Amino acid sequence: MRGLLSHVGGITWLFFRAARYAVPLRLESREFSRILLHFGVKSLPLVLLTAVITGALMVLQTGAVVELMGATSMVGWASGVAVLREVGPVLIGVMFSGQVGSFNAAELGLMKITEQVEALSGLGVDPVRFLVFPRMLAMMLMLAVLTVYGDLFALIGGSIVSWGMFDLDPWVFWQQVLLPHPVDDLLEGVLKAVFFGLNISVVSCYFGLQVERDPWEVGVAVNRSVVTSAMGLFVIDYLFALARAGA
Amino acid sequence: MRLKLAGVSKSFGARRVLDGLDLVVDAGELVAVTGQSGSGKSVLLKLAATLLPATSGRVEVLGVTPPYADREAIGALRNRLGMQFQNLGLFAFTDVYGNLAFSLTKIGMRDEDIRARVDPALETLGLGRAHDRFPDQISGGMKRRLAIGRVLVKLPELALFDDPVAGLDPLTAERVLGMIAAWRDETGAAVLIASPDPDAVRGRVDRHLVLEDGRLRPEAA
Repeated sequence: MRGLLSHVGGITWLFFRAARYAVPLRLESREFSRILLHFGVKSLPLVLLTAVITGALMVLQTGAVVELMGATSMVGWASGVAVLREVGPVLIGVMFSGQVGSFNAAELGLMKITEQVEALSGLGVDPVRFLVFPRMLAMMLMLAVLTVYGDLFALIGGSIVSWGMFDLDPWVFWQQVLLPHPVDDLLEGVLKAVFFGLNISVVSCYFGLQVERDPWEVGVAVNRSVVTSAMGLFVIDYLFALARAGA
Repeated sequence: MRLKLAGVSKSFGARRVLDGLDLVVDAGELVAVTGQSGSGKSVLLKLAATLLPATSGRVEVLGVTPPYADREAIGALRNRLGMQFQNLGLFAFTDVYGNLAFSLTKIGMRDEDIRARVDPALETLGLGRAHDRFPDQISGGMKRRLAIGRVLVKLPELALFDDPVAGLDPLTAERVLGMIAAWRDETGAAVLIASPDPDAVRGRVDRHLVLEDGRLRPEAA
């Protein structure tokens, strides 16, 4: 329990230290672009593939039940709400945490072991400004963009399966997706993704920077980063659901 | 006086690494500290580089007590120092040229001025052909020269080298130490070298000290 509290305190402290560089904005633009490109390109194919499969799987699982009730045309509506509001951001967030968050923790851990972080300090550069803040902004932005792409590809996957398996015209499927409040749902999902990105970036940076000198510590940092990010992600998701229920 | 440590102790938990240590390094002086592995040489260097605060005692770097709590002021002080780390600390995110130019970019030097300083340094270090390679694409010897070059190109007033000749053959080691000494002669900087191998530095420095039981003593003649 004491360990957990100490980590929560450390993560919060790191967030506030990094956030100080937001106003006025003092961003290492070259490092920011490098991370954006490096992590974004790295995770895009996996996110898109997972999204297509998940969208297809969701229609496959629910379609049979909906068909029994004679409401096949509702598959598009159900998919739209579920993907845009919940499944898209959460699933992509988990994938992102597993791939980008873990890589980030490992990279920073390795930078600690090879004394790159100390070398930055030695050159008068604050590692939080140079390493953490750009990663924080990049991951927030990247996860929001990936969520939009992921939502689109999940719905494409869903429309293909509903057409192939339940003979639902793609035109009807997309009409159903767009029928209720797709913009609200999309925005809610994207806003969630921004918070997920913040959670994953700060948690992975924190555990990466906790590494001291032994290579085995990198494995521990990666493990803790993924587990803690996932926990944080579900807490954020729950808070969003709570806010929606209260609204 | 570029570095003054008076009665400095440094502990990590219950383990006391430095115990009432005294050291003065003047401008233009080349001092070597040798000692067994784990004797506290790297801690001593990091203390001089203002990267670690002392547990007790007085530390003066370039005439001032390091303002650890003031991020801006400590950054400005560190800009006047240079340190080569034991694990080299080469930046994996940039190439050889970028590693040498990094500190100069951070102090706001113009690109032309950086090029004018880095290009000759690349040739002196024998890294001219590798300027666009990344640290993981060059040999161990080149990495070490790059790490040393990163300190020299910055023209610090106090340069700290943690085991600069580790893993180098005697001839290359001599060349590296010669390069550091020549640079010191040219710039008048104070230089502090740590090495576990007394033979590597013996006769090549102005003063040779041994770190033992947390304190420094002159090497026996």
